[in-house]
Amino acid sequence: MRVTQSMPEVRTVVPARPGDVLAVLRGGAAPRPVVDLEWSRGLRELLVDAAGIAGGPAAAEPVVLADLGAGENVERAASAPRGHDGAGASPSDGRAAADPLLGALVGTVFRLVVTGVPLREPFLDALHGMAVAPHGARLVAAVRQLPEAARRALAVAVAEQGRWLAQIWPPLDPRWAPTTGEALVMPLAGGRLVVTGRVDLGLGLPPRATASRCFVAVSADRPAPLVWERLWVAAVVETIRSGEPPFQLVVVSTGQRTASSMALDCDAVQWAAARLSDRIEAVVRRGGGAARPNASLAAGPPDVRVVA
Amino acid sequence: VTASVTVPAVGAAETPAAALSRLLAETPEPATTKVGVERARRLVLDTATGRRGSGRIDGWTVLQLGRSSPAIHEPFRPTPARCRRAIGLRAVRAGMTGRFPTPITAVDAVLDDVARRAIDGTPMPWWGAWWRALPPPAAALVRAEAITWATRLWFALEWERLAAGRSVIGHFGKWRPPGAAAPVLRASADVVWSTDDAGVAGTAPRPDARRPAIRRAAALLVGSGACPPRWSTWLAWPALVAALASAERPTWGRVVGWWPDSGQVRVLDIDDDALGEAAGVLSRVRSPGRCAVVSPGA
Repeated sequence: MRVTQSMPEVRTVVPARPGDVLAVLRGGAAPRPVVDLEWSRGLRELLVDAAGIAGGPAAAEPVVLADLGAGENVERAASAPRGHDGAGASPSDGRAAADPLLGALVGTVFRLVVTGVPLREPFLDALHGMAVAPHGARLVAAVRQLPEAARRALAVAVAEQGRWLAQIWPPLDPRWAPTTGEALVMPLAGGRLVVTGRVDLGLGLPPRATASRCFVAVSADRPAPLVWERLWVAAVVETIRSGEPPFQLVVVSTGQRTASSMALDCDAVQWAAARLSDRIEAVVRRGGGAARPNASLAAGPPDVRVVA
Repeated sequence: VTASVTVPAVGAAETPAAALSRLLAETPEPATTKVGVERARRLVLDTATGRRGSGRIDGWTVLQLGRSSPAIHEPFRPTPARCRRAIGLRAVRAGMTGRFPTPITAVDAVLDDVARRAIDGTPMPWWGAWWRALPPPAAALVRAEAITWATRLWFALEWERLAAGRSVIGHFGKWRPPGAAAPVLRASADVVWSTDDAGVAGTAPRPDARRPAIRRAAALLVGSGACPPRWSTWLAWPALVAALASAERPTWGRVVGWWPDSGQVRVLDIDDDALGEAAGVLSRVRSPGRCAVVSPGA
């Protein structure tokens, strides 16, 4: 089977108005992948093989690989170490790019904007919204514990990025079936290994004959390669669970004020699946072949954890 | 469970929606017997006798058994994740009337109705007062969760294929064992589809009026996350409650579990053994009185 070796092409625009984002979401004229359930089963077998070395005694709790989107932002934000002064990075000194609190709050603002809620005070709106979300109380507490200056800087950054989102985001046709915060789960090796994710926005109807879904991630704070990596995992999980890859992935970077898109074909999904397979195999090998409950896989990548 | 437990094969040209619809529409005739139901009833009563408290046990409780989650002992409070199903079911039900073209418009209609009830002073669903009291951004996130949940169920089935029968969106069953101290058994299913041997439930004439109609029914349960290890008990539970609550012969022939997050589908054909398995789970509930903190129905 031919596998694309290089990353699929990414097209980036600097949207100035809703029509620009709409054009990105609609995608180009490239033919969309044809639904092929046999092929998607082949992808699953690839990952099952990689997870196969997790065989042996069943772990009491599964190893969970990755977490995509706003949900993880919240968890990272709630547990992120702060600077020596108790403050995270200030939005103006460039370190803001690593502040997960900013990511979590902007992720919430994005969800409000996408669902057509007019923003009044983006920072307060995000805090109110987060308060009812999973882990939200921890996030709100983390924001409250910030020193005044850091909290004010965070509020400014959230307001700036939120207002930009509200300015450029188009109203979505309900017939596009937009879903926000959509969870993705892929259990492997009899449930001993679970790949999880969450996309900020899914567009399009379930598969009929050709791919029809588009996944969108919003990024306020993360380096682009990490965001793409997580969307690729989401694309693979979607392909396996529904038999259809998304026809397109989109990253909206509120920090850089760009919208980037990547058209997917079967080669690209195969390429992403191969990357995920390598990652699964590496994680399982580092974990000693079987998950240990209630212990971290010390040598594993930072986004691997054991469910407690 | 010795009932037919299968991971269904999906044809190469069959979409997930087509597969789920076929599994419901091709439900077998119920394989349960009066003897089997009576045995399950006795098992439930034997287990419930002497229990203190008047709690209730539902599918959520069953799902928590064997887990180390302390959630079973926590008081219930509404969250967006807990409300999405209740709102989503109302929205899909409203959508099936044809009055609302999309899940978003249907969810908005449900929420508008609750807002109107708050003004009129008419009874609201259990989540209504909580939702109304939320700040607008939090209320908007509840709406967003409900839209996502409703959209999935809306497009999960080929409803036109199920038009030959009757679909009940959001089925809630309850059975109270005799005795004030016994826990109430509750169960819900997201879709219950039924038909008789004429093809159209309750409307079309039967081909042979002298022969009693054989009703077939199948239920769809929508789970979250990945399929749990005890999935067969979880699927059997609403069939047990339906069987205990029914004075007539049980009609559920099959329960289909669907986990949209993972795309997993599991099928449990209901027979006496499946009911017995579900009834036996009561012996593992240490204190039904504390199980009152369960997710309420819509």
